[in-house]
Amino acid sequence: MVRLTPERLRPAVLTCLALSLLVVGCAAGAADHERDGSGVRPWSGAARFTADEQARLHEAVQRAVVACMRTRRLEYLPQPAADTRREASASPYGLLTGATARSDGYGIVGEMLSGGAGPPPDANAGLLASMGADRADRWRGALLGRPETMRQITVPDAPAVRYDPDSCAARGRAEVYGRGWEKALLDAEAATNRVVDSVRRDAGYRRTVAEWSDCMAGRGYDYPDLQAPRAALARRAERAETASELTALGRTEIETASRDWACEREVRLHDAAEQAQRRAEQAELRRDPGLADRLERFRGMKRRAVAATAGTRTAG
Amino acid sequence: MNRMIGKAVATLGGTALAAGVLLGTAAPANAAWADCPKGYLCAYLGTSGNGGSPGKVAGNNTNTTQYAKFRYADSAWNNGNSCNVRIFSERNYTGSYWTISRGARLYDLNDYGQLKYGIHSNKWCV
Repeated sequence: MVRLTPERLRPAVLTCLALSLLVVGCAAGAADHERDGSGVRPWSGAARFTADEQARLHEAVQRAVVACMRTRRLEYLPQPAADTRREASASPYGLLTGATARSDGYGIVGEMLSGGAGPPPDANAGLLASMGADRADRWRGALLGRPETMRQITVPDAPAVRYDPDSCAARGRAEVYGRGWEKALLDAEAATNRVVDSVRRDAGYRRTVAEWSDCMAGRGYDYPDLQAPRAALARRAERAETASELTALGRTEIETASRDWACEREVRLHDAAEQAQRRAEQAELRRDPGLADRLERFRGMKRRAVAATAGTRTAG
Repeated sequence: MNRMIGKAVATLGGTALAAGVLLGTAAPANAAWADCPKGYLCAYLGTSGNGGSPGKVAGNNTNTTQYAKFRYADSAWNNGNSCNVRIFSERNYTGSYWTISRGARLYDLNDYGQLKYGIHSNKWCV
């Protein structure tokens, strides 16, 4: 079996790097403006943050963590924000925008080649390496918490979460978002997930997905649902053994996604998702009369946090 | 070729360890939340961190389904040093998701929403 190496991939990397640069720009544009309708998100995107908001909030939390660690006489270096544009623009239903489909496809090869392998390197790795084991344990305990001071939070329809509210990581989040954020976020994500799950089960939405599948079949693609092309392309990407295979796959991905998006438009899949989402939200509000107030409180916390970080982005 | 997309990216960049997957190492059969290295997201086959040695990732992954411990995860621990991590019910950061704060643990993924069918992708620093 031939294994990919940086040398073997270099031509593909260069070719696709140019593509990815285009991709990131186009995808970010699509994420910011959502010109062609993939902005269908539960609760009007209550639990969603733009990539820019995520970066600003991340940096604000990092500053708060630095201050917290300082009070414990421990040094902490702020972790740079990651590029979350691809994730922030992804639809929970797998719907595409034309701009993203044409430039990034499903983001599979682009993610492989645009440095999306992981978070930025741990800014504190060197600091930790210079500490003895005892001090490193104390440092991590101060930052992430200790088992004996963990607390459990529960909300309906969400997994139980345990974290240490006295840890500097948690104190940093509370400083930026306000007290009760952990529970409010879990609740908002649970409400969002319930809607996403309902839409996927919605008969009208499923009928339209079947029409999309027929539309794709008419163009020579045999996919039963929106995840199927992603699965097929991911499998091929994982098997790619040569630079030319990966380069070709990038083109195939964009071609497939472009056809996918055209079919989504043809069968009005985004409209079907929006209608199913409205039905699901109305059912949720009937089932849980306190939900609207809780979501409004969550939106308020989010709004205040985002507003407080306006114009605070670190250069570079 | 049995590897994760994230790992492939890391290999390209020469930083395989940063995004790689640690294959399971032995852990006491009954130790909850066992064997999760610092810096990793760990997925356990049992609730409350049970089920033996976890699956472990340190990078972003658009597809974790080929790894049984993520595909059938019932609990998860963000033991990362740097960031929150988001886990998704579908590939490519789509579907339902939970955000796991730094240092936090999810005890019973198997009971709620589409994540009961496992973790299909993950993204750090969201």
